[in-house]
Amino acid sequence: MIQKLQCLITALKAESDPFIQHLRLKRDSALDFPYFVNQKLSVGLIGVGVGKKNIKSRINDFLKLINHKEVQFINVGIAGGKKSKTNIGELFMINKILDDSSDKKYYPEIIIDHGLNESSITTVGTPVLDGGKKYDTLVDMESHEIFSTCSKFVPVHNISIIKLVSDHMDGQELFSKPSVVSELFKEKMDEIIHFINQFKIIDKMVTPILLEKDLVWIENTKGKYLLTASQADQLINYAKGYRLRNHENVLPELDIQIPQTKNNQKDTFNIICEKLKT
Amino acid sequence: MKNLKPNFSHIYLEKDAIGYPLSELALSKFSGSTIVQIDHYKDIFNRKGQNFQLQKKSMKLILAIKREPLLYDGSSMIQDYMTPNVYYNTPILNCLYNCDYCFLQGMYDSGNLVVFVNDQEMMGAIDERVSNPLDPSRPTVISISYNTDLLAMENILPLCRRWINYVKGKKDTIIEIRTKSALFNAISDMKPIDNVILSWTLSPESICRQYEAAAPPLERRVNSLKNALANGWRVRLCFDPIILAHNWFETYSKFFKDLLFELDCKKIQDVTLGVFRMNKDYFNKIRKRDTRSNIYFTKYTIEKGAVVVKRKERVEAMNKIQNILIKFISKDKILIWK
Repeated sequence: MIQKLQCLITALKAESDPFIQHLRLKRDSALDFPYFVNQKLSVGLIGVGVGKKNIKSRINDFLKLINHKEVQFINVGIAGGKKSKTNIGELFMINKILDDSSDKKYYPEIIIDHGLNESSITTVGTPVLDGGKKYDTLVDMESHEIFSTCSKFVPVHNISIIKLVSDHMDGQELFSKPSVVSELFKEKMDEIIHFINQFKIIDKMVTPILLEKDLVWIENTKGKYLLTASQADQLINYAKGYRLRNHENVLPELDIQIPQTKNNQKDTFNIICEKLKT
Repeated sequence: MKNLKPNFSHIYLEKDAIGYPLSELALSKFSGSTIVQIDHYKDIFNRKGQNFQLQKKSMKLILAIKREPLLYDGSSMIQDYMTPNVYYNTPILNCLYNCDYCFLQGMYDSGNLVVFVNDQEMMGAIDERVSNPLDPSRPTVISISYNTDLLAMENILPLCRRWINYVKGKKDTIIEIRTKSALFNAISDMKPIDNVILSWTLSPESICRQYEAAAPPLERRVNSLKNALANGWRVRLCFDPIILAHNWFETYSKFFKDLLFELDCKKIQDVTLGVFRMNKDYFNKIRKRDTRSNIYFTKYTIEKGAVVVKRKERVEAMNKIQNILIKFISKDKILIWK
């Protein structure tokens, strides 16, 4: 089981290949779609294909495989940009996501000083080939669905969308030249990797009060002393207070007799609470 | 913090807020910020999956329109101001500071700041209410800094100035501006007026350091309020919340004596006192969010939906403090939440 994973989400093989090489990701056959991982670096990559259709199911399957609370998602992919506003190969951090077929808009949390230009993006159902007359934003085919799905499982600060302008929506470039797409990503690899590393900081800033061993202690105590649901909730709060006051110490050893009656059980619980007040 | 975007790196601008003078002013103050247009402030402020404390490390500014209600009935959590005509409004949601004991952490899902740019409409709502008060023989008191620290924002947006100008000459309306800021100098050129109360929340320095880490230190607050007093403003001292931490009586006794010896207490409008208390739902929400403050892991009792220090303990504490304060300030000027 991998803990605290960063998961890149790509649509095209041409997008994923440069990252697979750079991050030395290995194919993991636990999933029946492209899933690559480097356990040492705690980085993974899933391929969701072009468009919305596979996104929900693949992210769901991926999350079933790992501890989803600990994941940071980074969608890295290509987008079309207006010729007048963007250059081919330019990278953007996405700060607003619209969808051609829905009124729902998403606003990724931008906390990290990423150093990229920012843009909004519109997700469309079919490729745009008229230069993007209708759009004042970047255009892609996945962002909206990716954000919509990921935000159901992880906090918004653990989702980022980075887009690289691969074409000006005039049918001149795009999917037909995967080697060009890969090359564009390779050129920007250092910037993207720098962001991915910076993005990890957020994870360190929101660590829970209770440590893994505290949670085990709570589970054991709940079971051993037959605590009610309400007592278990109180126990968690007492344990948090103890942990805040005693950073280094382990939670106290409980050498208390197991309760035999209801009254006895209440007394036992009170003794446990008293021990945690220190 | 290094590697993080600075505060107000992004301004989320509600489409209906475009063109308001306060919007224009904010945009000009933060000309380097990224502007993201939004349909409604709640689309970003009320998003699911936000982390209040994380956002406090890189706060964003949201410019929006306040829609009804523009005025709220006074909270039961505040002291009795000797008039039933007590209200509050919300020119800003959230605060630059992030005090451990603050209910805003439990009230809002977001740590970002919302500034409502249609303050003229909020002022209109007050005029309407003042024209039909619950008790016509009493003034109407409006707390305009209840869900924020308005004066702390004064160098960014001159909202206090605008509110003071608004209330000038309206003898039946009193506004209270509660603050922990040291920014009296931002309004010190204004002539004091009788129907504005500048209220400073003060705590012993050790409490400031532990629980009010982002607010100015005690000395700077005291200097600021001294300047306000010297300029002739009505100044209220708020010792609220009193934190009944270890050795609280010694800590607070020394603090009161040191502070009140150096102030001209005759000039003090009044003093408010109260222990830590909070709406139960906000309290539980904050605790669930893994706050690092030990305030939320202390034993309290629940009274009328609020988490409070036990009655006996708080009444005793308030009486003890009152006994110190009455040596400096007359008893009728001490307003206590018991």
